[in-house]
Amino acid sequence: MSATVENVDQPGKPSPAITTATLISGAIGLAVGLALAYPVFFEGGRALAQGTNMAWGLPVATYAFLALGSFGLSMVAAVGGVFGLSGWNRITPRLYMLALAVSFGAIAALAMELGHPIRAIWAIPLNMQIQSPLLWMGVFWGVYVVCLLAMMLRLRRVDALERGSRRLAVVILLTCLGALFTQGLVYGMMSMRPVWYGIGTPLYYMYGAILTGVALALLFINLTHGFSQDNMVAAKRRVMRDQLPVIFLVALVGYAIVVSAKIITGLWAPTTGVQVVYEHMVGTGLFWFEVLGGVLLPIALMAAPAMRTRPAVQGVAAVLAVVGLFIARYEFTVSGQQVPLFKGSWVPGLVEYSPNIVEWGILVTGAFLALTVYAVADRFFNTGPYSAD
Amino acid sequence: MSWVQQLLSRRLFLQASGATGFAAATAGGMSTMFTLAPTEGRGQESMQAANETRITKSVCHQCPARCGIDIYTRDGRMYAIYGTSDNPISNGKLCPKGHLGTYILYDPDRFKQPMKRTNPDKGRDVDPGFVPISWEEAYDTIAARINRLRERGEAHRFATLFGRGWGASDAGILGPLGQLIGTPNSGLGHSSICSDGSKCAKDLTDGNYSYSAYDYANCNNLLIFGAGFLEAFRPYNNNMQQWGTMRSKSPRTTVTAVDVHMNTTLAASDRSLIVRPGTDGALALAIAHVMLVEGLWDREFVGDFEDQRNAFATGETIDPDRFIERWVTGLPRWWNEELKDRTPKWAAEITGLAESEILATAREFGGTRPAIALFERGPTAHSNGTYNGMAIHALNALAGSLFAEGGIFYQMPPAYGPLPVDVEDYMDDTAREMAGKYPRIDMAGTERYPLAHNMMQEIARNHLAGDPYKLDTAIFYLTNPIWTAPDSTHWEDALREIFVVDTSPFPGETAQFADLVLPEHTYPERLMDVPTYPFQGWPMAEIRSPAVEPLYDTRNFSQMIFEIGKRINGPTGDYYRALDTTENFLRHLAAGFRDAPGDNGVTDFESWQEKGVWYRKPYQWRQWRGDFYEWDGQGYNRQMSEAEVAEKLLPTPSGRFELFSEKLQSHADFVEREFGIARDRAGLIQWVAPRHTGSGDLHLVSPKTAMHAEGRGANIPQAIEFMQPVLGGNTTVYLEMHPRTARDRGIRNDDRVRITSDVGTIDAYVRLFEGTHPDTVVLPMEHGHWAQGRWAEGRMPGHSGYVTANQSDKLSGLANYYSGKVNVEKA
Amino acid sequence: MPKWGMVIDLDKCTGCQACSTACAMENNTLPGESWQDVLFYHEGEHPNVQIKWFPRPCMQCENPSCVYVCPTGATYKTEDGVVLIDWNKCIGCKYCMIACPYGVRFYADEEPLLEPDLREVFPGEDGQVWNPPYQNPNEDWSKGIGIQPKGVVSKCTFCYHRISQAPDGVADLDEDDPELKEYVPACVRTCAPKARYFGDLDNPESNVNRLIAEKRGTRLKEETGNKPQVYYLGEHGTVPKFDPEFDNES
Ligand SMILES: Nc1nc2c(c(=O)[nH]1)N[C@H]1C(S)=C(S)[C@@H](COP(=O)(O)OP(=O)(O)OC[C@H]3O[C@@H](n4cnc5c(=O)[nH]c(N)nc54)[C@H](O)[C@@H]3O)O[C@H]1N2
Ligand SMILES: Nc1nc2c(c(=O)[nH]1)N[C@H]1C(S)=C(S)[C@@H](COP(=O)(O)OP(=O)(O)OC[C@H]3O[C@@H](n4cnc5c(=O)[nH]c(N)nc54)[C@H](O)[C@@H]3O)O[C@H]1N2
Ligand code: SF4
Ligand code: SF4
Ligand code: SF4
Ligand code: SF4
Ligand code: SF4
Ligand SMILES: [Mo]
Repeated sequence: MSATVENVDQPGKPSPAITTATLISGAIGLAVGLALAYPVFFEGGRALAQGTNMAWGLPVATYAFLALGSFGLSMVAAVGGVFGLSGWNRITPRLYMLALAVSFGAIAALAMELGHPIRAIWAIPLNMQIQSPLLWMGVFWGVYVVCLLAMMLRLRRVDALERGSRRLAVVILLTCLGALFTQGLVYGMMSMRPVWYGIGTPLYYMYGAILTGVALALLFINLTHGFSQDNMVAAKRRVMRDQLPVIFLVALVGYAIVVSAKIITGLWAPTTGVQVVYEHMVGTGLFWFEVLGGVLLPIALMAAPAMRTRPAVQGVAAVLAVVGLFIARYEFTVSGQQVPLFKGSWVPGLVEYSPNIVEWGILVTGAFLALTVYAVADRFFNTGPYSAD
Repeated sequence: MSWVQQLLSRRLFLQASGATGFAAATAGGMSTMFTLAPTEGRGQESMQAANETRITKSVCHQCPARCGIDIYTRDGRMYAIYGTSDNPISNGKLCPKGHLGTYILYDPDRFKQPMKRTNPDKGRDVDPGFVPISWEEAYDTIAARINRLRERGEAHRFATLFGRGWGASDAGILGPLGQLIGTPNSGLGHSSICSDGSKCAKDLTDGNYSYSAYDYANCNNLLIFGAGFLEAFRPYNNNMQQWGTMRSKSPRTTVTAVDVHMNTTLAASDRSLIVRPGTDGALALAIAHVMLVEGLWDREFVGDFEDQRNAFATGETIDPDRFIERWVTGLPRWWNEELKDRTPKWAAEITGLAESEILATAREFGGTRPAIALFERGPTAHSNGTYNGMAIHALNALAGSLFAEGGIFYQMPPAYGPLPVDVEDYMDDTAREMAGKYPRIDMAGTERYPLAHNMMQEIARNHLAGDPYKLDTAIFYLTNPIWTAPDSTHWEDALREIFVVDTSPFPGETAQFADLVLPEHTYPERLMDVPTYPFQGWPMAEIRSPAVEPLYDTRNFSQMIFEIGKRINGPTGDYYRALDTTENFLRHLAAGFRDAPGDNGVTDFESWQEKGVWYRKPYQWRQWRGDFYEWDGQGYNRQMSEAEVAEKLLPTPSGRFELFSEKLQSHADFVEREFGIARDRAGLIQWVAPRHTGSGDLHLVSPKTAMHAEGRGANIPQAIEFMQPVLGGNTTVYLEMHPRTARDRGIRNDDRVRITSDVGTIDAYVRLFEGTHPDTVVLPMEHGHWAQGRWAEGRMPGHSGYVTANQSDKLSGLANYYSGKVNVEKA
Repeated sequence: MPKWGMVIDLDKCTGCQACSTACAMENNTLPGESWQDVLFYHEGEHPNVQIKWFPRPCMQCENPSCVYVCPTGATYKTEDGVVLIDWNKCIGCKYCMIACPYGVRFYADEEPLLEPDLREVFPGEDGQVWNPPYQNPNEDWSKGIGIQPKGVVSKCTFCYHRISQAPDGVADLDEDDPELKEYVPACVRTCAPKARYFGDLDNPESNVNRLIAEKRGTRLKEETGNKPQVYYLGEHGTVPKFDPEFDNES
């Protein structure tokens, strides 16, 4: 297919055919998602399986995952800008764009989960509850999205390595860190939720975000190039063959260490309840799929230099990792609430929760909204001198 | 909340204004916030409407405790119920069910007007095809049937069945109706599926066929046998108030509770004893044995050896002449022929308890004064129930608790005025010649059940067998035996053949088989008298007054009977025209208060309604250190003669507490035939082994939970959600099973199981519970209804009554709910 | 300004749940939305089994973590020491439910505990999730009093519509005082064995203070630092920790 995507006026410009395909699949996915999720628009919370005993279920996991993905992408992009890595300027614009799209997906998922999304828009800023991490999380995110938009518009004219863009990259990086940290705090601060409690949680979030970012970066850059690097300009190809995959591998290995550390401490945790939850978790097939398919297999794929450079392999590894990371996010969200706050006959044992179809719908909606926005943005921003990226 | 609705929301504006209001307020501090808070149209209402609240005195209807309630209404709407502060039973408090009465009034499943059946065939799933009719048509239809039966000389084939009757103005009017019509079957009570066991046991020992009054506040040791003191036992709400007193007064009342499974009563007690079903008699006898051997009996009430030296020694007889009895008879014989060998060791074998536990219990009970031995359905709902009960009640005699302060005694009736009419004057020839001509359909008081006062569980069987005859028409009031009676499926066949009239305000199994539905008011809409159940002895009578206009086209039950009566040919019609209305009827009762003003100033109908209760303290009699005294206006000063005691307090043949029951002895042949007890021993309080129905290997016990609101609990969402707290049953009630018992059957928590007995099969979900005896499974009676309303119908588990065989205690007639042996396997 | 507090004597509590139903009817909560719940648990082996229980209203914490995490200020602490929810401001993020150590916050806008759904039998009007015909006329959405609208969190208000009307300066709200009974929280007022007491924790003369002092009142989960204003007396109901064995039971 490389032949077909050869492009005359712009060497290395991805074929519009692919963006169109992305747009179409995104739209279809979005439609499916909305079709599944529509009850939430009319019945509200009653349509969801989450409730009093499991206040935060799949929808929250979705929003958290997408948010982290967005921050991760921006960070990957931003470090390029901040440290002026040569060649990265070839991928950053697309990553920012993707980050923005994913943020939209996240916000959509959150809005569908909230009891009063519209009210949130005025109630949060008007009341300035400075002691609530959610407020700061909102602030950072807000600034972040604005900066991203600014960056997008800017990158239509100037290069990502230009001074202004680099300054903006610094701001974006900081907002990402801020948003991630507060997002982590939302859980880490909860001393009454031992599974979540601890400063480790924000760090764990941060790390998860970076890996998600790298994986998504690999995936989407390859996607837009039809999983072939032949038509990439040299600089970009270098990044995609020699740099990103290696970073990905290192990140994966690091993540593997983080996960095992987390599991081990969890299984031997002194705090009542925590062990039970982890024992329960490692007992599930989902968990092992996450570990084997989502971490070890990608590592294996990325370990061999020969394989590592192959776009298709990169794609597969990235997809696996992303799925694994999503499962991790879901497990983290749910497991934190599985221990009933009191032992008692009304809720004997762990709190049971399994997402219903509407909640899956919210996931699909969020994910494919991101994809659609990405594809649309591709059309919208991909003009000017750097449209190849 | 959905975006769509939000965008349309009328309140968006308010929300916004509210936010700014708050933003401003936070500066000004919380208090200002209240004023700024966005409550336009909300909140204000509450303020200005507050003065329109009306409080009506009434009486709760969800169990026989009869708590006085304040019904809160505003603009004709009922919105709350609280206990009446100056009501001696509720004292401003309520049990968990009390508050749910609000829901009962507004139950969306209520019948809304009288209806008749259009579909001739009857069945569980057959649509009766009810169509609305006028009250006139309803009354005429019933009166016509009665008139026709009387003309044919078949008046006895008309029956009225009732459950928890309340007083003179409902249950009280059924007897006269029967006399006037000429049927022995008007006022067939449900007491034989309720708790006749304890009444019978008391009748045979101290001559009072009655539940007891208890002086908990002054009692220092309470020994509970098979009564849900903190779940059910009457008066539940007041029991809990007494509990608070008993547990905080000094000396603190020590409590031992005996049951077949761990429940809140046992958990809250100082000692809990879990026995094999039906073995309480053995435990009681062993306690008596220890009390005598260790000299712990009350000498002033019971008597003593002439030389005051205790000759009771395990296994050894005493010389009857050397024991001088005071207020008991038969003690030497009881000891020599029964008690001397009833050691704790022996009882341990039978009950499954540890010998040491029995000994400790006996010493505590015998060594503490005043002490009460209390029992209800647990020990008596077995084939040997009356003997168990007599053995337990004998402990009250040994402890000298009868009529003593901190002891046990009986209830005085209220000072009602006479009715304007006397039945005798209105009986026509038919009525007179029918009198005594036929036995009751349930054969209570006949050679089949000579001591039983009711035998409701026999009615369907007898009708189907045409023995003694078949019923033609039956009115059901406050009872639903087609569901609650043991092995009740055969009631369905019987009610197919009978012209059934149900008077419940709600759909129910009986109504499903009814030919006519005459819906009664629910209790917040009703006017009726409610004399107290045995409570503190002194007379007391409450009254229900309508708190709201009837929601639907319903009537008072009493008014229905009056209207039917007015349509009966002959003098009967005149009798009911003379009574005319419920209110008129009640005014005649209240007239009695003029000469006996209540302590709370109630002297007539109006003040009775205003206060909701009439009562007159104190209780008239006291037993003090072996002597009986009567209240003389100042105190218990007038000592009573033996004759007076015999007449007023211990109306047995001997005028004493009989440890060898002469009344029971007079039925020696019957006892020998039914229990295989040697004729000369019939009257002796003794151990009789229970006869358990069924061939299974596990006892099934089906008690009440605290949330079981009589007849309605299964259809009240707010009751269902709290139904079985100990095991977490909030959508179903779980079958309690000991973990070992479950393991042996490969059953795990929450598994669906099948319970099979000789009479039927039901399914249930299991919860493992170490608090249940390994030989016993416990399934609260609640769900498994098929016609009680939208929340009740089809709710798991199946109904325990369908696996409970219809066997009764031959003496009391009480159905043996707690004896059946079943098999349980994974479904 | 008083600092309202509650004392629950577990030695007297019979586990009857009248507090739970009284609360449910007074505040028109839905099945499963138990602002006041009695938690039961059992331990030990036959014949030495114990059933224990303790009633659990909102603890009305002095340091309410629910208030700290609320991003909109919908949840707030009043001057007289009660934690309320402003239903006109709550966005239904449920963060407060996550942050409450005592599990006493409810998101009634969820799947029904019991079918048929009461919200369909008595459909809500004017934004309420449901309209029972016996609705309590007292209502103030800015304080979480009444029947909540969709998409917000609800909880025990200490019956604020009652206690806030009480005459100034009373040390205790005792249901046995005819003058005060209408101001006593429903759960306290109906408690038959008188296991519940309600009064001013700032008033040294109050009966609640005396009880806490004399009977060594304890609070649940002190380690969270939430400082509940609900105190427990007595041995009977030592509060259970979640443990693996317990989990294996089910
Ligand atoms: N909540 C509620 N209260 C009620 C009623 C109601 O419907 N609901 N109904 C009222 C009526 S009509 C009545 S008659 C009374 C009945 O009041 P109770 O007799 O106190 O109530 P039950 O639940 O029938 O039985 C009491 C206990 O007997 C136990 N038991 C069963 N078999 C045995 C045995 O062999 N030995 C011993 N020692 N215990 C045994 C059961 O486990 C149960 O705990 O309750 C009244 N109060
Ligand atoms: N397995 C098992 N079975 C038992 C028991 C047990 O503990 N376990 N308990 C036994 C005992 S103690 C008893 S007393 C019996 C009780 O059994 P029943 O005598 O059958 O009485 P309930 O079932 O309480 O209710 C009877 C009917 O009264 C109707 N009703 C409710 N409110 C009103 C009203 O205001 N007016 C009228 N007219 N009708 C109304 C209800 O719809 C219901 O159909 O059950 C016995 N059955
Ligand atoms: S004990 Fe409960 S159910 Fe029985 S009458 Fe009193 S309040 Fe009603
Ligand atoms: S009402 Fe009183 S006794 Fe009953 S459970 Fe509640 S606190 Fe305990
Ligand atoms: S108990 Fe929970 S809801 Fe109540 S104040 Fe404390 S933290 Fe808030
Ligand atoms: S759910 Fe409502 S009250 Fe709770 S934290 Fe969110 S906004 Fe505040
Ligand atoms: S104080 Fe009022 S709201 Fe709180 S639990 Fe008691 S009854 Fe319910
Ligand atoms: Mo009964």
